[in-house]
Amino acid sequence: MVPKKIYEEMCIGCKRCIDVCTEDVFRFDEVRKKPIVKYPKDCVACMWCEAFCPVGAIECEYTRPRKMPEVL
Amino acid sequence: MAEVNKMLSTDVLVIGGGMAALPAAIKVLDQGANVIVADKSTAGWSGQVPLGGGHIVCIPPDKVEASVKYLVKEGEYLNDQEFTEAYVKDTYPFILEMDKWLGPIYYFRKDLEGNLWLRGGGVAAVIQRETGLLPMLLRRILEKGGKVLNKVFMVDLIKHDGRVVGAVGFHYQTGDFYVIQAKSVILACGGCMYKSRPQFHVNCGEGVAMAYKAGAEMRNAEYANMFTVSDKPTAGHNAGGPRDERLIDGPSTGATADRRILLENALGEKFLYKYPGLGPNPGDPPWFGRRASRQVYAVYKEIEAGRGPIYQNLIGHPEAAPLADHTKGMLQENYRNKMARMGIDVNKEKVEWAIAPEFHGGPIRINRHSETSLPGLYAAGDIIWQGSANYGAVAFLPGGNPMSLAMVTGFWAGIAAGQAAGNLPESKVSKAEVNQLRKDVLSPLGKKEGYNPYDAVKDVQEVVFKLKNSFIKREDRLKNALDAIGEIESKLENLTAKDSHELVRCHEAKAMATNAELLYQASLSRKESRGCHIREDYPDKDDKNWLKWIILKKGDAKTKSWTEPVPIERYKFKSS
Repeated sequence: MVPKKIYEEMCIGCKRCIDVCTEDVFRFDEVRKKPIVKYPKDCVACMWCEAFCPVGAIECEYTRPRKMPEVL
Repeated sequence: MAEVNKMLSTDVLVIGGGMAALPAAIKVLDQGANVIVADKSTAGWSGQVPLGGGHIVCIPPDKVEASVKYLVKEGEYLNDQEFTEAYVKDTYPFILEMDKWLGPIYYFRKDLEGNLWLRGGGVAAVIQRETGLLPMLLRRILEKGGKVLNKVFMVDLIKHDGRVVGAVGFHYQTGDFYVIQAKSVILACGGCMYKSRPQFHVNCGEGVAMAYKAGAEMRNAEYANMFTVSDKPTAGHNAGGPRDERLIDGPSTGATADRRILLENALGEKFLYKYPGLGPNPGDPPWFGRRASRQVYAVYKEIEAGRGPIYQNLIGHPEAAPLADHTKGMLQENYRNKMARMGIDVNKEKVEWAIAPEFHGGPIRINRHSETSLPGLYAAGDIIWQGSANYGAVAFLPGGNPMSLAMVTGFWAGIAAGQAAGNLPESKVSKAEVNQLRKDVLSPLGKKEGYNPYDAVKDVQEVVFKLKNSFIKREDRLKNALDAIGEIESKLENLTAKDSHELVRCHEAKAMATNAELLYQASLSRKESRGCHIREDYPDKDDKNWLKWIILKKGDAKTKSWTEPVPIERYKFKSS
């Protein structure tokens, strides 16, 4: 599943990953001030959260959880 | 689910947060009106521009006529030529205006004399960093006092006496119900991509569905059927990731490599040479040269003849080096290292390419002030890609066009809606009306058993992703596809949602079904082949009977459909 790992000791709780995720994969844990991966199956592997995490705390995998229907 | 109703009121409501919505909101504020921007994701990071990217085509005044002529020829005379000319003329001044809004890091590149540095045949203006463009526009909106609602998903329009006076929706995360009353609404939330490719999951044609439901006219819906050819391991539709083509052709990189050289079939033949009309022809401006749909047809024919699969062969090719070096080129941040992370060395192995569904635009009909056929409703950006008839009979022209069309129509919509706001009275939505709308929008939440929204999305995709339904068309298959969509639509009443997150999927599935219905209805009507509308049963272009636009509009029981002749006698460029 993507995102594979959030390095919480690096995370600064800025919520940027939540802003940039168009699919609402993340939610914010207000107690620990860290993002949680709430809907992993909705991830589309756009890698946006990893690319825009200001401290590099998110690591993604390069696959989409959902298989798409065939074209031909 | 929270029981909160959030009631808001403004002069102009802009739905969307991308390349059309943000310029529109700025122009509304420039006219002295208030604005609320409501985006399903986060304004400034939403839509296709941050993830899909591209450059903005910008036509200098001395190239306007050549550009219109080219667009009309490529659009096979199904263009609204007056619209096209107005659009092309406005690209240059609008880019210069937008350049003033941008910060010192995110600007359009200039030469030493301070003139726009244009690339790709002298027409594509290059932004220094694409991902910074939209946040800079957003900053200007906030500076000028605009209000921005993020993660607020608008799903239905409010209409009083035939006039659009607002919209309703809900918060993606909290589920709060939003009622936004406005004197005008600008729909700028993209076309329908049917959740096809990773960078295009956000636009599910909700705006098209809203406008259609409210009674707006649709035009050229049969052309909302874009397919492309791209690498299978990443952008091929079975896996996530970016497109190789960004690296190897098109003005995005300035690389000049031609797909005719790079693509080969299973026998090792450079097959694209066999198909006439592929690639830039002599005399064509190079910036429109890619013609994705014709390549799709060539690849389909090769696979059909048993010469598949298709590969991109970069072994020993000079373009392979920059492709392998991920730090070079105009790559966007999320695409970096993609091939390396897939474990593919393009210097040593061929990469399989496949036909990938993408879809793109929307069929909402607008005029040169971005007005739809409904009073109080404007539309801008990808949502009017087909409906404006700017490009005529093509599903997509790559190379930055969508961004400039979004910018220009966004400007127009903002100016028109902003100016109209001063003369319009405020209308009040009654409590009973709010309760009814709330009940409709949130209805999937109460149900325990029924139609799972993820299944609904997949069911629609199963129909529209089939090349033989949506691209290579034939009457019987179109009828079957329309029936299949009708069957899905009959089940949509029973959609279920556990929370507001799933409720978004429900409304996305509904919107996708509406868009698919419009695509197949219009495709059945057009009994000829023209541009990206290919009919096996009517293979020839028929200017005598079909130099017409097909208009669709919601009727009482079913869709009303009629044709309007293209007023070609009035236009500068004639078909013969």
